[in-house]
Amino acid sequence: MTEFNLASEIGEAEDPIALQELFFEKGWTDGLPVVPPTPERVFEFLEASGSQPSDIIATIPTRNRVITAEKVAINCVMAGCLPGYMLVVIAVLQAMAEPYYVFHASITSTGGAAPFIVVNGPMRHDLKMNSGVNVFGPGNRANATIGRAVRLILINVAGAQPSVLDKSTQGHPGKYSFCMAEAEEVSPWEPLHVELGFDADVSTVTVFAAESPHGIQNHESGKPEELLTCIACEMASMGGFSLGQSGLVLSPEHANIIAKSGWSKRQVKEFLFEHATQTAADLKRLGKFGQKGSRIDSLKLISSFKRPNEDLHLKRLAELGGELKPEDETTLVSRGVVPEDILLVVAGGAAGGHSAFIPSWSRGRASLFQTKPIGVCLDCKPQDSDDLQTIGDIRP
Amino acid sequence: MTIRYLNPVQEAAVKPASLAPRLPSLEGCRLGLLSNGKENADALLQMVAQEIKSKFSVKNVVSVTKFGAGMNCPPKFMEDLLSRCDAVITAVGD
Repeated sequence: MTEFNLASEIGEAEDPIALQELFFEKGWTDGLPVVPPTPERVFEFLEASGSQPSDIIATIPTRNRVITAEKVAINCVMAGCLPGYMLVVIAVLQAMAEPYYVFHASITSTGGAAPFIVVNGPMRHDLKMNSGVNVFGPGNRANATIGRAVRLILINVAGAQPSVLDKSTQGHPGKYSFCMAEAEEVSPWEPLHVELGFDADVSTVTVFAAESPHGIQNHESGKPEELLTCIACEMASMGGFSLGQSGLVLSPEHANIIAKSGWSKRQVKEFLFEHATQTAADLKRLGKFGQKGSRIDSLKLISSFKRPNEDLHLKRLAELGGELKPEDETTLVSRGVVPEDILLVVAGGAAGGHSAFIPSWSRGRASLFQTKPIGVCLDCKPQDSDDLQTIGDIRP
Repeated sequence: MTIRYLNPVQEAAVKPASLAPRLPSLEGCRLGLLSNGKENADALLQMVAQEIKSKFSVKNVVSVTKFGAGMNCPPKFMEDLLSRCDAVITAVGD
């Protein structure tokens, strides 16, 4: 075994039950028992991931937090991971550290988001991940413990302890674990990572700061337009409505009904973007936009702003601000600002007309889904953030 | 059976900081207001500015709204603000 110099304090417990009680008492768990993070087991994880304990996996400047490989390994062990899962967890944290994920606010906001993790590529098979029956449910070790390891890291390393710094109003069950693989083999379309420009044999994680899933049930429609209109209605549901991005996990049955009529993934997104709408008037009447949105009028666009489609986002917000106007009755507002705002993947059991819409946590807080290759870079830095957030209202 | 375990917690790296140097007086100063971008921060800052203006002859007020309440204010943004102000007040609203 390779020897590592670990920085973490080593403690001792008399027996397994005493250790569990100690971890609960310290607030080091998600409310469930953990696997003891012994030095020997942590070594195995570091070795499997090719990491040195002091490797910096991610930073959270807003909180002065540094996430080292050693702490990642410890929490992966606690979550019940196998050593091979650690590279996936590392890639998830690298994705969350990108400026336009907004690491700090996404894990502490009243919005109660969870990192929704989609794994693509060959590693899905290597790790025996589930992309089929009960894809969001229990029963698969990799899906369950990769998501759980991320949560434990958020609690123990990122400082997002529930009710202390994590101030979620309600949170949702995905905050225990919200991780799945795409069913690339049964999808009628190119998988997510290929759509985003990666080679098919590269494994990736896509991470989306997400609210709780909305189930979409449709057993009877055999026509793409009918089915997609039903899905669009759910995406436009008033409670979850925003200009944020959308996760959409289509069941194989739904995806194949749509694709067998020749619809491409691009066409599906365009149709949904066009139909997942509300009128500006209804949005204002029900308190979704209006007076508070009017503050956007005072913001100025700066040309160097790098956040994708920010100009469209702010333009739409500015249009929605202010009092109810007659033309608002006929002004349709789409969910998101472009069709590419829909993160579309296929997963679930072969039988059943059940898909899921997953709303974003907050585009208004600058959060967009991020994709990273797995195992490619252990010390990658996030994109240059020097020009970020250069928007403001500077009045003499 | 004794079990050895590693502490899973990483504390924040706390950077020592001290109070900003005090101005001898706010008389004639260029006052900056930095909002975190949430709804009520601007209202709070404007109230503070009004209070200050009622007591001192402030030269001008520069109001800046940071975009992204959960993100750090970028250095260039701060430098620009500081170059045009003698004192800056910030507020976290919600």
